[in-house]
Formats: sequence, C-alpha cells, structure tokens
Amino acid sequence: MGLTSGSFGTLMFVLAAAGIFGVVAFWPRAARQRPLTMLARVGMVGLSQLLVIAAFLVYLNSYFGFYASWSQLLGSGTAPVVRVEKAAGQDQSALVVTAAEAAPAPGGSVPKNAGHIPVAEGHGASGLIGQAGRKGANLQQTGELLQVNITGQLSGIAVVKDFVYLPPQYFQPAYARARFPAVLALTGYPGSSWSIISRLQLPAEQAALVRAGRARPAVIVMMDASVAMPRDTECANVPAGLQVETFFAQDVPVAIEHAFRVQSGPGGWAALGYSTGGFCAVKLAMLNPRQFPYAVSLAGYYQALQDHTTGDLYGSDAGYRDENNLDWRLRNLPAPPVSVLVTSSKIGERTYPGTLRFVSLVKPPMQVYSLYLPQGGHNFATWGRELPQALSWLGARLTPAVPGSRGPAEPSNPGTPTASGAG
Amino acid sequence: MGLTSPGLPYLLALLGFIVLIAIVLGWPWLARRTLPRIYLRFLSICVLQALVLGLIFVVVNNEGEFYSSWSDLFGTDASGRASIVAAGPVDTASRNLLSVTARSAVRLAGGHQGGVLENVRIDGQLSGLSVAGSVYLPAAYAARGRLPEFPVVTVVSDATTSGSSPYSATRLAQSAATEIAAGRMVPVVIVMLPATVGGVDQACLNLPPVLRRGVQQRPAIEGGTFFAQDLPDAIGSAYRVRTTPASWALVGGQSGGYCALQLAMDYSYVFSVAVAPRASYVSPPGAAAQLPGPFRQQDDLLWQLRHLPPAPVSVLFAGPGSAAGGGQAASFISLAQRPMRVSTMQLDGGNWPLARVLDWVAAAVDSPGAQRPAGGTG
Repeated sequence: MGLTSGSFGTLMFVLAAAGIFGVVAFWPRAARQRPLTMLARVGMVGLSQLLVIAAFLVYLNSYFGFYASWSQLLGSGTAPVVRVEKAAGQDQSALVVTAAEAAPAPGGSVPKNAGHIPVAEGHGASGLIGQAGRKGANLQQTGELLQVNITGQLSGIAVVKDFVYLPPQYFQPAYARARFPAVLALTGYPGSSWSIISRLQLPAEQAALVRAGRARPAVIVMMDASVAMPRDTECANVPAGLQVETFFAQDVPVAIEHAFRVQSGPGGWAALGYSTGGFCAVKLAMLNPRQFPYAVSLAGYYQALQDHTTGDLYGSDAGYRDENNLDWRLRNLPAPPVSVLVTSSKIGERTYPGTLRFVSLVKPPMQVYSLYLPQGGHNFATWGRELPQALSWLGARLTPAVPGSRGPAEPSNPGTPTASGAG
Repeated sequence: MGLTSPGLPYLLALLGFIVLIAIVLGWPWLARRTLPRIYLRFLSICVLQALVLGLIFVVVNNEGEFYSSWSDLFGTDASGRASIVAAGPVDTASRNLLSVTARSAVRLAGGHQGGVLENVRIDGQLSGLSVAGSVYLPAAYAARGRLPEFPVVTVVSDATTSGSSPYSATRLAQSAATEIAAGRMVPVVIVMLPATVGGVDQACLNLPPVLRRGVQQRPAIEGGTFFAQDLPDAIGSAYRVRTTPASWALVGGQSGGYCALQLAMDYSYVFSVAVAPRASYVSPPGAAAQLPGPFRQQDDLLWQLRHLPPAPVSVLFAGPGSAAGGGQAASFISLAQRPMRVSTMQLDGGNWPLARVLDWVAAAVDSPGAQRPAGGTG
C-alpha cells in the first residue's frame, strides 16, 4: 500500500480512531487500584497515542510531499546506477514516458499524489506524448502532464516518476515547428516531484501567467532534487560516487532535448528550485553557465550542506566541499556569466541572512536579482506568493518559442561566451 | 504566544504531562459506566492527543522553519507585496577571451603558403586560468569566397614550446600543413596547449584547494573547467570553428596523454575523439595524484570504465611497440565497451611519427564543410 495513497491514509486514520475508542471502551478493565494497572493505563494511552501520531505523520508527509513512496523513505540512499549501453544509433532509454494526463487547469484542484494518472508501461520513449487528449481532454487548451523515467547516459543515474509539463501551445498548429524554452524545476529535500504540481502548482501558475500575457510558454521538467532518497544528494558530484551534478547539468537536458521540441541553444534553459532545489538551481547555473544561463532560487541556501541526511558528499575533503560552496566560489573564482533570482523573507526565513551574504558577494559578469517578502515561512504558501514574479522574470529572459516558424535558428556557436547571457 | 516562540513547546509539554497524570490518577473515577463519564473519557484522551500532536508539530516546525507565524500557518498572511530588485552593477562589457600575441606564416617546401601559426593567450572566464598556447590555421582558413567552419584538434603537451619535440608547435604546424597540402588530411584548426596550467600539473582536472587547519595552502585550479568550458568558449569566439563534440578532438603528448583520455571521457559532450601515446595513462600524474582516496579512484580511468556508462567517444592509442600496448593500456582496451570505440596505431620511430596521427584524427572529426581527401586516413 503506497505511502501517499488515499487508502493508506484512511487506514491510518481508522486505526487511530479505533485506538481512541478502544481506550474508552476498555477503560474500566484498568480501573482497579493495583500497581500493575497503573502501567496498563499508561500503556493503553501510549498505544493510542502512537497510532494517532503515526496517522498525523502520514498526513503531514502527504501534505508536504516529503516522501512519495516507501522506498524513498526507507531506501538504501544509493541511486540505481545503470551501465547504459546503447544499441547502435539509438539511445531511447534516456527518457521513457510512463503515464500521461491533461495538465491541471489554473485555479483547479490537484490530487495529493500521482496515483490517479493511468500508468501505461511498455509504451516507451515518446509513445505517450500528446496521447492524453484522446481521453476527451483538449491538449491545445490544457497542455499535457507526462510522468517520465530518465536514465543518465553519462552519469548512469536512473530516476523514476518525475514529471514533464508541455504547455498548451506545444500542441497548437501555429507552434507545430517551434522549439520551446525549458525550465528544470527541483524540489526541496525531502521532497517529491509531484509536490511541484500539487503544492507549488507551478504548471497551473505558469499557464495562468501565459494566459495573462505575463510569461511565455515553456516546457517544465519537474524532478526530485535528491536522486537517492532518503539521502540528500545536494546536486554534488560525489568522488567515486553518484555524479549528481553531471546528471542534472548534462544528462537531463540531453534526454529532454531528444524527446521534446525544446531549445538546445544558449538562453533556452533555466533552473528553478525551492530550498535545497534553490541551492541546486544556482549551483547548476554557476557551474554550467552555457546550459543554464538563468536560475531562480526560492528560499535556497548557498553553502555546501553536510549533515546526517547528506552523509559524506565531498570525499572527506574540506577543499572539495569549498568547491561546492557557492559563497566560496564567488570569493575565490571568477564569477560566471549567469543571471540568478534569489528570494527569501525578512521575517520567518532562516535563509535570509545567507541570501543577503550571497547577493553581496556576486560580481560581474554575474547578475543577481532579489525578491524579499516582508514575512513568510519556509513553505509552499510563501513560495507560491513569489512564484508569479519569478516566472515573469524568467519569461522575460528565456528565448521564446516563435509561432509559425522553426523557432530561433540553431546558433552555429553555442559556446559564444559573452556577458550577453546576463541580460 | 507566537508559533515559533521558545516557550510554546515547554507549555504544551507541561500541559500534556498534567493531563496525562490527571488521566492516570482519575482513571477509576472515569471508569464508571455512565454516559457522562464515557464522554469525559473520550474528551480527556482527545485533549491529551491534541496536546501531544501540537507539541510534535511545533517542535518539527521550529526545526524546519516551515511556518513563521500563526497567520503564515493559517494562510491569512497575504500581507507583503514585494518586487524584484537588481543588486549590484550591471556590466555588459564583453570580455576578450583570446588574444593573439604573435603571428607567423607556415611555409611549405617550395615556398607555398601553408597557413598561419598564432601565439595566443586564453583567459578562462570560468576557471580564471590564463594560458599561453598556439593556434594553427590551415591555408584554407584564409581562402576567399565561402567561409566554412573548421573542426578543431586540440594538442595537449608540455613540449609544444620545445623545438626538438614532435609536439613542438612549429613542427606540428609544419607537419599539418604538409599533410593537408598532400591531400592526406582535411584542413583543421589545431590548438596547442600545455598540460600544466596554473603552475601545477593538474592533469586537466579540477583540483580542489588544499586547506591545512582551515588555511588555504594552494588555491583551487580548475583545469577541467578550463579545458571543457573556457577553451571551447574562447576558440569559438575567436575563430570560425564548429564547437559540436563531433568536431572536437584531443591529442595528448607524453605529458598530456592522461589529459586527452580523461577530458574525452568526462566531457564527452565537448570532445568526441582522444589520442594518447601508448603507455600507462589511466591515473593522473602530478598534483592530482596526491588527492585523497575517493578522488584518486574517481580519476582512475579504469575505475570509470568499470563503474560509469561508457562515453560515446573514439580513442586511439598510438605508439611504437606491440599492438595492444603494455600494462594498463591493454586493460583500458579490454574494458572499453560500445558506444566507446578504441583503436590502436603502430608508429615507427624517427621521421616525425605524428603525421599519421594527424591524418587519423582529422579524418575522425566530422568535417562536412571541408572536402575529404581520397584515401587520406591512416
């Protein structure tokens, strides 16, 4: 029974309620004045308490989208690393679509987990793209949400049940040949990619902004920031271990560019994330300015975290940990030609002082923009308030999809290095 | 009392404890089988549960700083519009990534024009490394009329400035010009760089800074970033070259053999071809060899071949001696799997042996813009 499935939540609730009724019903049995009955009373109350707490934790987990499955919660903390061996001339295993549905409408309600999406194993690759419309939905109006498995061709890291949002324009005839900009959206830790859809409501917000003319259509790739739940992998290339940064910076863009009509030139990709995902987004941009010239960090931090959830990500080497520390990089290395937007709250956010410090360290050609709410905690409601401006900021920078054309010409020199990326 | 005030968890814990004691002591009184007592049982147990859940929530919330206030928690905190502010100066000045410090013509036997050899300095935008090198432009580069983009062969060797070495820039340029004029090689741009950049033999790897008791003994040397990101940026901005991986090859000399193999395997999205002399180039030389255990393991190319997906690159081991080469080169060859391709080439000593290597590598880089000479591969 799935950790976030409705039936499991119901079961836990029923058990908790049964515990309380059990205590009330069996109360008189422990009423005699003997030493042992005192223990029995505490035991009965304690047992009921445990059941209630378990139900509460299951509810909180599903509400915040921390762990999407038992394996994420109890897993070994090592990502499946597969040796990718391509058959001649094809690398279809890079991305497999496992399920599809019409994208959620702006203002509509979104289920708490992805269990309702009909899973269609075996279609493979692009077989399901644009197919959700056959079940009565109009993809030209709604866009499509795809559940995908991605296997890194360089890192070998394989992840499952992440999501790709294709905007309505993707299916409109005018855009039939257009290539779309892409946004890589990363969760916090712990987090599951579905919470970007259900709690942050990124696709719905983006669709609403596009309708209002305040953002431009983009393909959004929504992924867990950790590739090895329950371990916190912090988008680090672990020495002789998981090459997480390579996975997000190289493997994911390549897989998406092969499967969808997205841009591969400069200015076509951005990274966005909240909390740990914010750190990842800025890190990916700073280390790979050609791939990610823009990044948005909603309540992120900027130092190389190490605690009991990360384990040793840096080969026990303080120098390598420094290299993964964005503050340190700004102090000790040339600033990369990227534009980043960082957000925090003046009251209620532990990340505020660290964000101020990071902003003060940025020097040209890097550019930093900030958005500080007067008040707001480290939660989806706060990030939801920051999201419209963040998406408009991205929309003003990403190379737009051009209707009625092939889209922007593929530049012959994707590597032309100027500060122009920092617009 | 605020949601995040330090007293709240203590207050909840105290209340919970009092209710628990009250329940345990008042148990017999509540045990009477009358409806009001049953209601009271129910009520007391629910109050205790609520206090404990509240305590858990408040502690977890303080730990994770999810909600900063009651209004934040109940979603009534709509106050506070803010807008995006640009911080810091906007600097749109374009940077000079590559400067030419000297230029000399390459003459063929008989006085024909064989192209140009330029001495250049590359200022790495991301690595911060400033590296002197040479760039050979074939005669076709300056031809009038159509302006094709050329593939790039990058030679990594500390011997490019030594006149007696086969890897000397002038001898390489001369040799390339001869091979191109004879039709054995397609015109390519050749970039010649030292294997030692930043004053330390970093084996073309990103070397973390060396810290001792928190004090930096040696700064970080971002050799990998220089070769994989700064170099394509600089060459792409200064010359008419294709920057797709299919059009970029690496040739390592004695000192750059590990560089060439490692760069191609770690950055196969930049380089697709690597040539190394046939010797033991599977673990890094120089300062990189001093890195702690897991780094040495990661940097060991045999470890990479065993543990990471094979990179889609073409590797050539060239040199005198037996076809399979000695020691670890043979292990490398036996571990390589598709899509990686490994070839070996027997080189004769003397009479500048690199001509056939140049022929092979030029043919290996994709070159639809240039005429491929007939029978030109080695």
